[in-house]
Amino acid sequence: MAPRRVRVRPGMDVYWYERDTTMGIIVLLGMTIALQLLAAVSALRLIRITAQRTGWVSLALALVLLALQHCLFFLQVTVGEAPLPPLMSAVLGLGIAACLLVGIACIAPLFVLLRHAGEAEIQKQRAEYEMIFHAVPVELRFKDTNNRLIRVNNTAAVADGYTVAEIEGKSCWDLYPEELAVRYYADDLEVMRTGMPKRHFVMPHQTPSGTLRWVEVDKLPCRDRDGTISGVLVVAMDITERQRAEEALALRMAQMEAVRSIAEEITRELNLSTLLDLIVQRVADLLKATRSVIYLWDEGTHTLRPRAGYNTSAWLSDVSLRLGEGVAGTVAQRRQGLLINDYQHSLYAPPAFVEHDGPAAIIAEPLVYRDRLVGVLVVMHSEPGKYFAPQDCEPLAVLATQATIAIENARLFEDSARRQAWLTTILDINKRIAAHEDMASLLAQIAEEAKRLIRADSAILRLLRDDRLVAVGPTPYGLTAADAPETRLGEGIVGRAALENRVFVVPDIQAHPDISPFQKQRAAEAGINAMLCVPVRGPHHVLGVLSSTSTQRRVFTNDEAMVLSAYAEQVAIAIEHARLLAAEEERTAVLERTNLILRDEITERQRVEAERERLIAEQEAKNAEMERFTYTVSHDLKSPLITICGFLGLLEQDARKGNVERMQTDITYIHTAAATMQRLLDELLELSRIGRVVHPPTEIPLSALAHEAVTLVGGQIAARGVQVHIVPDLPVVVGDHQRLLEVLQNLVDNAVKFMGTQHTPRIVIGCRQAEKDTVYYVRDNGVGIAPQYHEKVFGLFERLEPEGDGTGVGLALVKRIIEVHGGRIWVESAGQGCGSTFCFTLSQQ
Amino acid sequence: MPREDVHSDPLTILLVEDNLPHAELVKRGLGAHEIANKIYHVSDGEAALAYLLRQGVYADPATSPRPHVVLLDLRLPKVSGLDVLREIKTNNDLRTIPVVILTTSTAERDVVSAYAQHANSYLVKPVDFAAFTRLMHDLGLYWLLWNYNPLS
Repeated sequence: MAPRRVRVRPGMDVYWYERDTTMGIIVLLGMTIALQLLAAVSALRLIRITAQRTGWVSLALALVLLALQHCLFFLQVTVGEAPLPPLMSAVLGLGIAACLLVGIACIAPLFVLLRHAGEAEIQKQRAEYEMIFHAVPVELRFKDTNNRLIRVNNTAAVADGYTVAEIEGKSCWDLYPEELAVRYYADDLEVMRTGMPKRHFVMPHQTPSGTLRWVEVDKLPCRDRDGTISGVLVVAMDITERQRAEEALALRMAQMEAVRSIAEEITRELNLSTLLDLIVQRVADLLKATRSVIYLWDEGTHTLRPRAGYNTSAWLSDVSLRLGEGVAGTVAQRRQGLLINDYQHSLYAPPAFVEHDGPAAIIAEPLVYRDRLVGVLVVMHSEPGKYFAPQDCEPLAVLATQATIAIENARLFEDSARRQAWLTTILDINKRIAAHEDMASLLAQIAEEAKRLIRADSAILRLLRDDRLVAVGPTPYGLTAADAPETRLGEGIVGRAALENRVFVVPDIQAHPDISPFQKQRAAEAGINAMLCVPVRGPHHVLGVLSSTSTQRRVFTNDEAMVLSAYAEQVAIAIEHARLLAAEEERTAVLERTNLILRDEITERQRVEAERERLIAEQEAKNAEMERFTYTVSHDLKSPLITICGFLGLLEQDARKGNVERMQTDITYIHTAAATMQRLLDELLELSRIGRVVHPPTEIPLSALAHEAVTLVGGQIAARGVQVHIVPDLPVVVGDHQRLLEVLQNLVDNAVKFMGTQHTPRIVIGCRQAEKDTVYYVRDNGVGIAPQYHEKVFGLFERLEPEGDGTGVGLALVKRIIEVHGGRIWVESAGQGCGSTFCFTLSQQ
Repeated sequence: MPREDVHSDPLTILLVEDNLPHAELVKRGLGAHEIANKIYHVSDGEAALAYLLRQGVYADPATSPRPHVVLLDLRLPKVSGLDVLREIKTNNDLRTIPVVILTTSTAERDVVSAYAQHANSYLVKPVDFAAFTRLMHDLGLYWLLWNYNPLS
């Protein structure tokens, strides 16, 4: 069989043999390669699993065989250009067969190796399981049906106080106290009986030391391969710590509740010192501590001062701590709580503290309100061996926060109460000013009030007189106003306050540059440390200075400066008020004097005016009367003149005609007119005499006068047959006898004249008593006078009867006489035919 | 020229005068000139009003005819001349009767008051007899001849 030649490349040809042979070789070669590869993979796996040398040897061997096989194959394929001789082919075939055998031989141990590697894996996993079994924090106990521990993990053994070896195989009856063992076994039996796991129940357990601990237990039934229950797996977890944590939590809750109730209690308290006492007591109770102190920050001195203590010694009250000094100072500086259980040996123990108290443990918390230090709360254990726990910090911090709020509240309340008091005081002084209280006594009290107002130790009011400030009212230190030294304007603090019109707050007199050494010395002697000076400002200039001092090292606050300024304003008003009042009083006095003078002047002027008016009225009346008189006189005197002239003319005519009869009538008219004229002139003369010609007044018995008058008119009375009745015992009057006689005569004459047709004419002269005057009257039962003529009858030349022979002067005359006598006259008559009564009064004089 | 045709009736004059001699002078003065007239004389204001209003004794128009003119004195007993004048001039029926004041008063007050009360004329009695006679003459002529009166 000739091989087929295939040229692979120039110079190299491959010869193939018969197809079957070639295929056989290829199949053989493939199998060999596959085997070799399998061996290599096995070796690699072995290496990975065992990492043993045998693996590497196997790998190397497998690789060598592989390489050899390839060599042989290539040799067989490529050697020469001619086909191999048969012998060579046989050798090659044998070689390949041998290789195959060797390869197979190599693979066999590989399988052995692989099996060994699997076992190692199982061993490893078992070890891991064991490790886990013993390492889990859960206690695992396998029990058989006889209550014996078959298998126990390390956790369980340790929990029971044994090693695993010691405990495995032992009966529970021997291991646990009987009471517990019975309880355990009962549960086991239940699980085994029901085949159901019993989960999550808590059981007590005992530690080797005998203390009780708590476990949470799961019990699971264990079964054989055939499913019968062979025992119980007890899975127990120690929950003692958890219980403890819960208890701690409950404790903390209780503490917090206590803090809350304390907070509630303290925030209700508004009195600062009561509040502080309450806080220290409650905080000591809360932390079951022996002592507690509360320090408050003094803004003035920049120190912490203890304000309240619980079980503290007296020496503490004098302590004051700067920032960073001692525990409280440190806490205040850091604004952070501090817990020190070994106080004596700590950095924060000042010797004084250790010496006095030497507390064993201390816990402190700063009191901070809105970034402002309020104080420090310090709690202490003094018995050795007692400590504070870190958990104590939180309730203390919470309580401190609440305490801070409560303190601020109380301060606010006190502030507001104080402001209220200020306001009241200021209002009070206002009221007293308004009430015009005596200024001297008010000024004397001002300093005292100021002192009370801002709780200073002393206060002085100095008023500016020219360029000196002089103390007013009582002054402290036994100085009276008289021997208190005056201060010049601009000298020292007080002088400057007045000169510069501003408030001075001096926290430390000794340190102030404007105070003279002498004054400093005096202040030191008096123990004065701080001072507050406010000017008393008047409307135009400073009136004085109100200064107050304190023996304590304290800073007068802005509030206090403000209130003292407000007070000073009131004082200024008071002083100004007093000044105005004095000026007002003076002005009032002057005004009153002026008023008095003016009033006198007015009165006088009014009197003069009245007198003038009276005179004018009198004059006017006289003028009017005069005019009326002139008028009537001219008219009435003219009448008879006209008659005379007229009839003289007629007489002349009649004489010429020789009418003697008419002449006689004419002459009669002329005579009558002449006579009338004569009488008119007489009566006018008489009228003019009244008031001009005055007879001296005499006492006149009116009855006699009436009789006299009646006698004078006797002729007419008799002629007419008039009956005249004069009322007896008429009073005696004072006046002009002649004139009053004329009055009565005229009235009686009139009465007779106007009797008319009366058949029983009668006249009564009498008097009656009116309210304040005696009224005299002449009454007749004649013709009477109609009411419209009652005024007219008294007019001059007024006549009611044209035919009468009266001239109309009579009643005017009577009226005039009565008026001259200070009386008045009127007529009373119901009218025509009713008679008339002429009434008159006379002046009392 | 006097118009004699107008007054067929004699002139009726009411003379109000309290002074009897004066009344006599007026009557004779008016009568002397033979002026046809009838003079009715009353001596006070009350009587004058009674006459004009036809009261009492003056009720009969035959004996107390409505006057054509009233001669009125101011100073009168009872009701004064000015009051009478006011009464006449406020009475619808009487106000048309001319009223001539005849008085002795030359007082301005009287003159003003009289005209204020609608007096038709104001005459002052002259003291001189010739003047008096002349006045009476002119008065008679004026009222009888020159003055027109309502026909009624």
